[in-house]
Amino acid sequence: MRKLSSKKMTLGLLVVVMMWVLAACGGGDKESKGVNAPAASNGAGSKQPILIGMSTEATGDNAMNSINLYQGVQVAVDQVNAKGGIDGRLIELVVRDTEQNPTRGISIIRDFSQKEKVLAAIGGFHSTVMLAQSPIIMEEKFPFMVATSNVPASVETGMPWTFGVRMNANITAQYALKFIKEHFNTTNIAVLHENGGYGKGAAAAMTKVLESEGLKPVAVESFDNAKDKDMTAQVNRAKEAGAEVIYLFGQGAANGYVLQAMDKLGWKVPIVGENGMANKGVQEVGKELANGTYAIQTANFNVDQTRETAKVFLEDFTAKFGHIPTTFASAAQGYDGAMVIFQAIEKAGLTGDLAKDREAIKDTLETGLGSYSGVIKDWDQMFTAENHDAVDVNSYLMCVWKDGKLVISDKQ
Amino acid sequence: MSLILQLVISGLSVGCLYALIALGYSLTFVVNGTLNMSQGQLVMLGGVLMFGFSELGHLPFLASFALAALIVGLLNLGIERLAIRKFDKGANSIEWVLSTIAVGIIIQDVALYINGPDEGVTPSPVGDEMLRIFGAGIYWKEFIFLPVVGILLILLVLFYKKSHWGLWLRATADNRTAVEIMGISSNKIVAVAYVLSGLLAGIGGALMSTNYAVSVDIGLPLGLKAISVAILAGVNNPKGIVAAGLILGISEAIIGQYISTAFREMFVYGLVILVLYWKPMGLFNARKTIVKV
Repeated sequence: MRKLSSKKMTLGLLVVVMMWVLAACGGGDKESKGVNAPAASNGAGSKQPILIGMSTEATGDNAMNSINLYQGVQVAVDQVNAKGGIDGRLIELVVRDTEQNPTRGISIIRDFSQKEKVLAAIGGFHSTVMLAQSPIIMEEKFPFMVATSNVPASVETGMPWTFGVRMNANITAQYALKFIKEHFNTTNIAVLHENGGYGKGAAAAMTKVLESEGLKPVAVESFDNAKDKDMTAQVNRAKEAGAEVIYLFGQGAANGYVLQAMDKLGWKVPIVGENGMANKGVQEVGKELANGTYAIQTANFNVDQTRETAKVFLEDFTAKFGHIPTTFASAAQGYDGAMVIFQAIEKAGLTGDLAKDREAIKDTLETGLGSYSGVIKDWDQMFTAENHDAVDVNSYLMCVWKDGKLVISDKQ
Repeated sequence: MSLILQLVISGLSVGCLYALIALGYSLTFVVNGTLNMSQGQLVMLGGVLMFGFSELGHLPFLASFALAALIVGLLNLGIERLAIRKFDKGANSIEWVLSTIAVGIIIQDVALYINGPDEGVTPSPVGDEMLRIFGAGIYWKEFIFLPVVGILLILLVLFYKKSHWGLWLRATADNRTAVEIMGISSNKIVAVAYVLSGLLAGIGGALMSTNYAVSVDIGLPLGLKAISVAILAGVNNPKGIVAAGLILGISEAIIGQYISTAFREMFVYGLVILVLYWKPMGLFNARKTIVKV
C-alpha cells in the first residue's frame, strides 16, 4: 500500500513537472489568447486590439536572425502602442513558430486568416517555408510583409498580397556582382550555397545575373546547412575551377566550416554573402578567419546612427532587450516592415469588414502609403502595383567582419 | 596525393564524432535491445552545457567537460527509469522507440527555452593552430578527437573484459534470465549501460563543441547519422563501430569531391544499403558473441 502511494506520488510529481515544462515552453511562444475573430473586424473606435500575424521561427540553424526580426517588430508595436495605437486601438501580435517546416508554415497562414482573423501579417523568414506560404497567402487574401526571405518568387509578379522589405536575391546578386567587379576586378565567381530555398535562390540569382553578361559561375556547390560539417570537397572543387571570389550563401556556422576548409587547403579569396554571413556562428567557428569576409546588409548598428528613426529604434531596442540587435538587417527590416503595415492601416482606415479592410490595406501599400522614414532609409513611395519590393540596390550597405565585429566596409 | 590525404583527414574528425555517438547506441542495444532515440539530443545537451559552463560560467575547461558529461550521464539514468524500463517488454516491444523520441523532443524544447537558439564554439585548450601532414591540414583541436576516441574505445573494451560490471553487462546481453537467477539485478545492469551511454554522449557533445558550433537543433541529424554508423558496423561491435564511423566520415569527403556534393548523402546512404544487402547484420557483426570485444 505504501509502495503504491509513493508510486502515485512520483507519477503526480512527474505530471506536475511535465505541465510546468509545457507551460514554460508555451510561454516562449507568446501566443495571444482571448482576443480572436471579432476583435480585428470590429469597427474603428472600438478598444479591441488590432491583430497582426507574426510568422517566425524559434528553432533552426539561423533562428538568431529570425529572433532579431521578431524583436524589431516588437519595437515597432511598442512604439505605436505607446502613442495610443491606431485610432485608439492597440496592436497585438499573434505569434506562431514555423519550426522551419513548410507544412506548419501553411497551416499558420490558414490559422492567421480563418481562425485569428488578422488584418495583415509579417514574417517570411525561412525561404523554403515562405515559398510554401506564398500561394496560400494569395488564396487567403490578406497583406503579408516578407521581412527577410530572399526568394524572388515569393513577392514578385503574380503575388498581389505579399510585399517585401527584404533583400530580394535577384537584386542582391546584381549589387554583389557590381561590387565584386569593381573591387576585385573579376567575374570568376564560385557559388557555395546551402541546399534550401535561401541558398538555391541566391545561386539561381547569381547565375542569372552572370548569364545576362554572357558569363556563368565557375562552380556551383551546395551543402546541407544542418548536417554538413566538413566542406573540404565543396571548397576544393571551387578552387580547382579557378574561382577568385566565393559567393557564400549558407547560414552561420556552416559558412564558418567553409572558412575552415579554405584554411586547410591554404586558399584565400574574398568571400561575399548576405544575412547568413552576418550571423554570429560565422565568427564562432571561423574566428580570425572571418576577418575581411563581406556580408551584405541593409543596416549596421555597430556604428553611430545618423538617421533619426534609426537612432530612436536602436535606443528603444536596447532599452527593451538590453543589447543592440545581434543581426542587423533582419531587425531593421522587421521594424520597417511592421511600421509600414501600421502606416497603411492608419491611412486606409478600418471599416470593420475584414475582407474590405485587408483589400484597402493592400491598395494603400501599393498606391496610397505616402512617404515613410525608416531605419533602412527614407522612401517616397515604397511599393507600386508592379513592384512589391521596397529594398533596391541603393538600400544596401556592404559590411565586413573586423576583429569579431561586423562593421561598415570601406568598399561600398 | 595531398588532396586525397586532405579529404581523408578531414573526414576522420567528422568520422570520430559519428563513432563516438554510435558507441552510445551500442552500449544500450546490447544489454536490452533498446536504442535511445534521444542520443543525438543528449550529444547536443553535452555540447550546449559545455559551452555554457566554460564560456558563460567561466569554469575551467576540464571542470566544464566533466560536469557536462556527468549531467548527461545522470540524465540518461532518469531516461532509462522513466522512458525505457516501463516500455521494454521483451524482444518485440517497440514502445520505447516512441518514448525515447518524445524524450528527445522534450530535451530539445527545454534546452531551447533555457539556452535560446545561439550557436557557440568552446575554445579548445590546444588552440586554433593547424597541423600540417604532407601539406594536408587538420586543426589540432580536431586531431585530438582521434586519440580521445581511441582511449574511450580502449577503456570501454577494458570495462567489458576486466570489470565485474562489464562481465555482468555482457552476461545480461547474453541471457538476462540467467543473470537474474544468479541474483544480479538486470535492471541495475541496464541502468549502468544507460549511464555509460549518457556519459559517452556528454563527452561527444563537449568534445564536439571545441571545433563545431553547437546549438539546440544539431541533435537529430547527428543522431540519425550515428545510428546508421551503428547499424552499418553491427551494433554489438564497439571496434567495428569506430571503424565504420571513420569509413563513413572519409566516404562523405571523397564522394563529395569525386562524385557530387549535392548528392553525397544519397550516395553515402545508397552505399550503406548495398553493404547491408551484402552483410545484413552489419560489416563487423560477430554472430557468435552477443558483445564482440
